[in-house]
Amino acid sequence: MTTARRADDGSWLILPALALLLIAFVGPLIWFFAQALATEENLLDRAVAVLTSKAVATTIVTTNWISLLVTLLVLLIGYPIAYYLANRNGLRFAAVLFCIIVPYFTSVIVRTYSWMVLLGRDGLVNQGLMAVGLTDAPVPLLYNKTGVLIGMVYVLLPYMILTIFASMKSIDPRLVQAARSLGAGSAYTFFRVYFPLSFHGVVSGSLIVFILSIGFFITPALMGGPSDVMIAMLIERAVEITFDWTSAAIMSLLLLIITLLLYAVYYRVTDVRRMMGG
Amino acid sequence: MMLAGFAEVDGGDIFVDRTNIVGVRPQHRGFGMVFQNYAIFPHLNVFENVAFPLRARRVPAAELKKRVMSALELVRLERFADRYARQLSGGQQQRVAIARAIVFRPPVVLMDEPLGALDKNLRYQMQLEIKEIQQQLGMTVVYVTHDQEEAMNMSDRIAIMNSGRIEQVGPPREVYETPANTFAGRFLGEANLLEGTIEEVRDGRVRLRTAAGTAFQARAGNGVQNAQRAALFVRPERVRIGRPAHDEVERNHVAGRLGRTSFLGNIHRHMVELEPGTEMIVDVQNGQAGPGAEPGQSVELSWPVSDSIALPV
Amino acid sequence: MMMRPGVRALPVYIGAACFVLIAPIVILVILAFGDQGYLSFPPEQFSLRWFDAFFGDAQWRRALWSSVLIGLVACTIATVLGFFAAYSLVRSAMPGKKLVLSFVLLPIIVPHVITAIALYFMSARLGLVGNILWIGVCHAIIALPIVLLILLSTLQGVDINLERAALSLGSSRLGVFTKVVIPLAFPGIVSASLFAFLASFDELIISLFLAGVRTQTLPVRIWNSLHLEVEPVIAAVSAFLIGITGMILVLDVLLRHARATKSGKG
Repeated sequence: MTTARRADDGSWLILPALALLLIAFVGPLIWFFAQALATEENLLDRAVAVLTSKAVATTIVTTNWISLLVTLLVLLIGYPIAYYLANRNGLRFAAVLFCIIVPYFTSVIVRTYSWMVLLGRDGLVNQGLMAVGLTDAPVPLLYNKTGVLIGMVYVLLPYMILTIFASMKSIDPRLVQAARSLGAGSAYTFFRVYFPLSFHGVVSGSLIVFILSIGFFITPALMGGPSDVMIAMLIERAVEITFDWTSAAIMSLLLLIITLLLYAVYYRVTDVRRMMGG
Repeated sequence: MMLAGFAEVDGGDIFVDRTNIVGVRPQHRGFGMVFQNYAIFPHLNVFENVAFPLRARRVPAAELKKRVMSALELVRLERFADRYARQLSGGQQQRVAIARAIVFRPPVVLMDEPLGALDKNLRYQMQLEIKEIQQQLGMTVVYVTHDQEEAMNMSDRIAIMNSGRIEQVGPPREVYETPANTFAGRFLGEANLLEGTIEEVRDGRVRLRTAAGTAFQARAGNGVQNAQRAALFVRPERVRIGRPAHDEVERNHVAGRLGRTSFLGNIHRHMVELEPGTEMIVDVQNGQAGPGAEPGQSVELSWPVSDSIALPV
Repeated sequence: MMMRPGVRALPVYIGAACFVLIAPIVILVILAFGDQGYLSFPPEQFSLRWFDAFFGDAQWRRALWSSVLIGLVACTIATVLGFFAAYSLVRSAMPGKKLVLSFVLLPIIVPHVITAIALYFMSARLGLVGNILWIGVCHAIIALPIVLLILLSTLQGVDINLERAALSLGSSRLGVFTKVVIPLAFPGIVSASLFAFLASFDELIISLFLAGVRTQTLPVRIWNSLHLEVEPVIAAVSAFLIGITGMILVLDVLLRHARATKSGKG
């Protein structure tokens, strides 16, 4: 073996981390799927039955619909913020970054709770709407799709901003100068040069937000109504309420496979070291 | 950067054909620009890169295609129209940048150290190509470079800049042989500068005496006045070691001690110490006779009076 | 020319967006200092009443204690293993580095509900539900990706020639670690461990499934209370969690500064 003669370069130092993942992540996942699905004699029929049942089918549609909406909203809201962040420095940069980073590192449940307080019947938002005369009676903003969208957009916005920001930072500013020197105006420069060059970040950011959306649990569970059940909530209910481990495993497997496929696409288009805008 | 409009002007004006362009935004100046790192749009192919300024000006499709292809032909890249920047060599990327900068027929093309990233051989070849294109199209090119050989090879006129000020403007030969001041003299090539005091100014000629007491004759540079400090400037290749057989022209003479000799390929470079702390450089073409002395021995140096200028210090 | 109105609208939009991003958190903190028995903004009077209710309640105190213990276990494991993993990814000639890295990052990609259920399924059979040490180990897999991302960039900033110099000067492999790599990477290591602690401290879903009655963490207590009502003591607990986040972010800024001066670059 040639490897035996090569100097020890420390590659084995990765092993403890991989062992941890094996014990507390991959192992349990495999065990869970193997055990929960092994009890079923005719697995394929059961899987088809579970996934085509009205409740699950509706939930899959809802999950995709909400995730798409969230991704689109987060992209539209986040892109200009990332643009601003990438093209400013000093105090304005720091101030905007602060407003993104603080929520980003705050517990998801705390962030969700803060919007529940604001969006309630007597919450600040409704008070504000009534004070300016936009509405006479409180508008239902919580326990419906509006609530889920607001909550999820708020929680996921920083991921999009930081991902697009990272890709914008790698755009050579001289390309924009070149476009200007060649006679292009601001709008033409933006749409023909800047946006195409930042498109990479748009794709990465959208993928990561969509991936996180379809598996989202806390925010829709707390802020959604009866018709806003997402797949992760259905999985939790199968375990906690009906103790139906087989259904939970089937739904989990579907969600896991979709997530991994999307992650594979993300892996192709992105430098994973840049994940979370690092 | 100021000419292109990316940097603000602190003071003064910029005129193009008698129009002041200070305050005009970059996209309205209409200059072609070639950047140091080429700034080829990575997401557009060669054709679209070159078409970019035409599309920004809404040139009709048929004419656009014709003009892009003729620009690409000019830089001999017509077969690479579908390629992307990452599929091109440095020299080819450079040609794309040039084609892009000239395709909209700008009155002035700015080139900011365009060949800085290329190796020496390719650089020389590209210099000739750029020069050829410039003459073919008859356009004005403002070419920024730190490479003196490149400056002399390419220019009709050189402007030597020193921290934002123009020290001298003129044809390469004039700037090389008759520098306006010591900065310009040192900038292009090697220079000998002997400091002293002016003793006499007459008919465009001066007599300058160094601290050691040697007197030299020289042409009078601009701003040289009697009884003031000045530096005598002479190029190393004009200085000879030993007395020439036929003294047709008036020459300066000085004695010194031969020091280090370096072999630089096309020349031998000798250092000659006139007195402690004062050295002169003497370049002798490879293949010509050597100094005829060993290091440490005394030698006599001489050069034509007309090849030396007194410059103000 | 065409973008002129757009250019002026951008700062207005950014201002509004930043307000919406930060306001919920600020308002929540202010509410926590209110005096009323219900949440109203602005509070008529300020008091520490709800913080007293939080720290005075044995159950909340126990939840805080569980959170801290679990966080410490998770952050210790994740930091130590993450450091070695980052070192090996930066320095070794291992093939497929990108693949290994994206594998270690999986726990933040895979929906936490799936991970939590799988862990619960296994833990229940092994009698590990409610075991603080085990919950810490499980949280470590969530914290590991964060540690790894931070330490990758830190270690890339440590010049390999410094290590070679130490080796050539007679230092052992272990000596290179303790005398060169760890001191140089120290601010980054502390930073990574802080964010690892925070990741565990804020984690809800895995704790929700794995916590027994006596080992509920703060987020789990908040979750359970939220299903009953939006009581003001939750605002106080939230403000406390926000305070921890704020503290860790401030420490990180200071550490970044130290890192910049140490490695001589920004």
